[in-house]
Amino acid sequence: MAIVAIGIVMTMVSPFFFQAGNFLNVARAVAITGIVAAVSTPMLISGNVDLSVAATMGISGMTAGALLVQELPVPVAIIGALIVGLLMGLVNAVIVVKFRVNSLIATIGTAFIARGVAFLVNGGRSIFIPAESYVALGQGSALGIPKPVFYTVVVFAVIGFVMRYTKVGAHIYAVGSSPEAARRAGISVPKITWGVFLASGFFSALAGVVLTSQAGSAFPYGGQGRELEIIAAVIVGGTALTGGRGSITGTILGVVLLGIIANSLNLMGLPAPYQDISRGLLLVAAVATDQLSGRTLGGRGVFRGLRAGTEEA
Amino acid sequence: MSVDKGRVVIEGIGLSKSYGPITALDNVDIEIRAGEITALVGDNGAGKSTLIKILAGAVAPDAGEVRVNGETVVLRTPADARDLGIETIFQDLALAPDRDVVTNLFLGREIVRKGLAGMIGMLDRGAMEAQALTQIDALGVNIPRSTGVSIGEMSGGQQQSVAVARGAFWAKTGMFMDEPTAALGVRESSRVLRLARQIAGSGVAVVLISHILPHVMELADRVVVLRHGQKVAELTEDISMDRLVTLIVGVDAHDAVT
Amino acid sequence: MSRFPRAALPTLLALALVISACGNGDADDAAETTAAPATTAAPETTAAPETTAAPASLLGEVIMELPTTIANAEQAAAATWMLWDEASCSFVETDDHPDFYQAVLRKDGNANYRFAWTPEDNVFDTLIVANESFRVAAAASETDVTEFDNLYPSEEQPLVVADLVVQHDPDVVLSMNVLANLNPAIMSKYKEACIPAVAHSVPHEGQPFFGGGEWYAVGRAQAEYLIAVAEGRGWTTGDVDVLLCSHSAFVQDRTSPYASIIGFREVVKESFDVGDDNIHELECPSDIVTDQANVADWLTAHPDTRNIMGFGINDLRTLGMVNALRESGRAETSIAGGVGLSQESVGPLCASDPTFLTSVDFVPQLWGEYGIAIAQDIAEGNPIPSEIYPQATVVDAASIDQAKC
Repeated sequence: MAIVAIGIVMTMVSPFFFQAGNFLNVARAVAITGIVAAVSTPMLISGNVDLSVAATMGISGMTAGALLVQELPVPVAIIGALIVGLLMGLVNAVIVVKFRVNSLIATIGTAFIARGVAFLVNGGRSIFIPAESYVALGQGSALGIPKPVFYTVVVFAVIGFVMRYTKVGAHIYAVGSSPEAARRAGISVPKITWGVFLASGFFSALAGVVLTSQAGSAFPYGGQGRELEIIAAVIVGGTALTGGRGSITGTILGVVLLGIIANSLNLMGLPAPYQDISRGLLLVAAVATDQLSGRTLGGRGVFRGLRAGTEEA
Repeated sequence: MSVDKGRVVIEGIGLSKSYGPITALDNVDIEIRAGEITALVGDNGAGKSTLIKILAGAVAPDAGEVRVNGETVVLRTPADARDLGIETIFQDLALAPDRDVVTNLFLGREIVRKGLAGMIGMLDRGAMEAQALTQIDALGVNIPRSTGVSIGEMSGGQQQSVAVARGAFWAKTGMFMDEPTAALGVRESSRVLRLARQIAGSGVAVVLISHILPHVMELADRVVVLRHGQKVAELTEDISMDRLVTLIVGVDAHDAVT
Repeated sequence: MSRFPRAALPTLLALALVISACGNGDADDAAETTAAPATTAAPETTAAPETTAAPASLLGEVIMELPTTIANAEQAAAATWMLWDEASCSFVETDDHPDFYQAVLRKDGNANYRFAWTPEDNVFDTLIVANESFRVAAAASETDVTEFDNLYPSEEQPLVVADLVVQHDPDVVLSMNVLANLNPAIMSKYKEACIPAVAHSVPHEGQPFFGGGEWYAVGRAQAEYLIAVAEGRGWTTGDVDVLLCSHSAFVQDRTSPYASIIGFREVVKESFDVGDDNIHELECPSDIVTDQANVADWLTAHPDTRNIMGFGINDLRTLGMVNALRESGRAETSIAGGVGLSQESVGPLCASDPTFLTSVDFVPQLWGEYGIAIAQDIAEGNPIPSEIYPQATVVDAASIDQAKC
């Protein structure tokens, strides 16, 4: 609803909004955050949060860049980056599961560490990527659609499938809804926690790979500051920060909605501060209406809240 | 099923459990029979919950043994008990509030599809829905039949009905209900208790813990009274309110054992 | 640092444009200095002995003579010169100075000078190189130089650093603090401790200024370079839109890197007659992807643009802009320049990218040599100009040091 509403308004305001080329702009702009938002959805649904996703993007992108500078084959660089992502997930999972540290705190910690290490990879300097075949993975279009969008669509499809149609997905929801109930029902809460963190590391690293191939450059602060934007998109899409509720479809809408807002304001030539303001207003409206309608009125939670909120707006 | 009625299916022999200096359970013997509702009563701290947790595999006893269908078993986890067909419905709801009835009924025991789809853990949602609806209909439970309504949106009674339905669905041997009506109104309570009776009628051994003595008197075939961790009485007839209260609080305990 | 071969320096400088002039950079200045690169750039044209011949020098042999922007008589005459006055613990203006200033790095010899360098951080590409330059120059000149990291953007650390420096009590401190509002507090600490301080990057009244890059002149030089290319391609004013990748985080005046945007804008208006309506400032937070997205959105909203001349406040922004131009199929009708000669521009320049044509080398790889040489002059009691800039050079595919590729 909100997207349609903004779409109609924008079509009236800017003749350039309702054009295939512009939708591709939006798609390209949100592709990378989309990958991380996709994997952050099961993370939040499981009742955890991973704030190290952006740092993982940075460190994995630097890993890929460093390997490519050594003239190693592109697949090796990508696998190396993904392994670094899995290691991030592993470390996070160990801290959360074994040391029983709250995931928010744990991942703030590992985010600092990973960002620091990313700066050490090349002495703080960025790496211009020499491998054309690597850069070709993220730049340009295929079938008229920007390449990064394909990866994002595949990631959304895979995670959406797991969440909706598989036992693992059902267990992630159950663990987030009530860890105690899940435990009593014989579901291994630690296993689910391990799973979501490994997936988070893996897909964040994939986003780091797409980021560096799209940019043609690996930079140690790659992805910096994106974590909040990503979580905002997931929450605007109806996933509860408290776990148990949410959907990949909602996250896709959240990501696209934030992307369209940025795009619209750009098309209108409004400066960046207005984007921050509207992003913030949208997030607050979504969560506030959830508080009012979702819990006390027995509604369906954030997503209904979002629709109510944005229809009013 | 009725042929099994009265057969001892779950036994606890000499069960003891201490938490530090506090003795929660002291050498208790108990026999639980198929097709019957056995009520466990006693004051707070009398050991009711500890006893049920031991029989359900949630707590390991310091001494004593548990037998199921005559065989000695070691219950390390609730999953061990569940594998023997023993289900527990907890005082605090053990449901995922954001999930629907079907998901909750099959929580942790989902049906996956056959073949390759099953190997990647793909759910057979259709089979689960069909079985869930059959179960709901069989129990005559008044809960929304439509899928996609989350448990959290239902009333307390409906939620407890789902929990009981789930227990009944999987309980082949015994079903333990720990204060199933504690948070419910009168009508909702009677609905849940009717369910308990129905489940016992199907040949399952039902154990009910309740503070609400009228419920106990109305429903139970057998009442076991615990006090300070010891079994002080086991009644099958002449169950009156006065008698129960006396046994529970401990006045005039000598002539209590029937 | 080690990747920058010293032997390549004269070649680079011979190709160099002198882009900065004594700080006050009005249009004429910039035009003149850029017009006369060869005469001012080559090191051998400037005579060193005049400034280094102080009789009481304790310093050792000359290691390197460094070109500075005050290298001709006209500029030298216009400049204010300063001298450290131990009695008043301040710099005093002096007319008793040589005609030219040449920063000359010398061996410490028997002087036993101790200097302090307080960089903005150890993170930004330019500073990593600059800090390494200080280490290399300190080793080469056998000078005791201690680095104190200001941990940008910390607002506390620069004050902590100032206290540490006072404790350390060097002969001269080179203070690079870019948070202008902290400078009065920092400089008063140094004055109180009677330590001569050179302000780096942000000028401070009464102190000599050693600039890293002169942003305003950089912007002007990049505009001139790109206009020359545009004219060479036969572009006319009416065909051109100017895209500036700026950032709202910068103070929008001459005191911040935003000065490069001001300089660029002025030149395209003056020299190429581009109107304000065709000059567009875009928000680029410098993470490439958002930069690219914002430029892409702008291009969508302006489908009729013919030729685009782009400039970003650093190479990263310019690369994001170039990526957007390429993705929208305008690689052949766009030209762009960046700043910093960091990895993001070295790659495209080495590859002769058709769009990303130029960057500016602030020679941070020589900041240490400059800084120590200036500090040596102050410690020796020699007069120095109130503003000293190393020569920043415009670099393109033809002039880039191939060793960087």
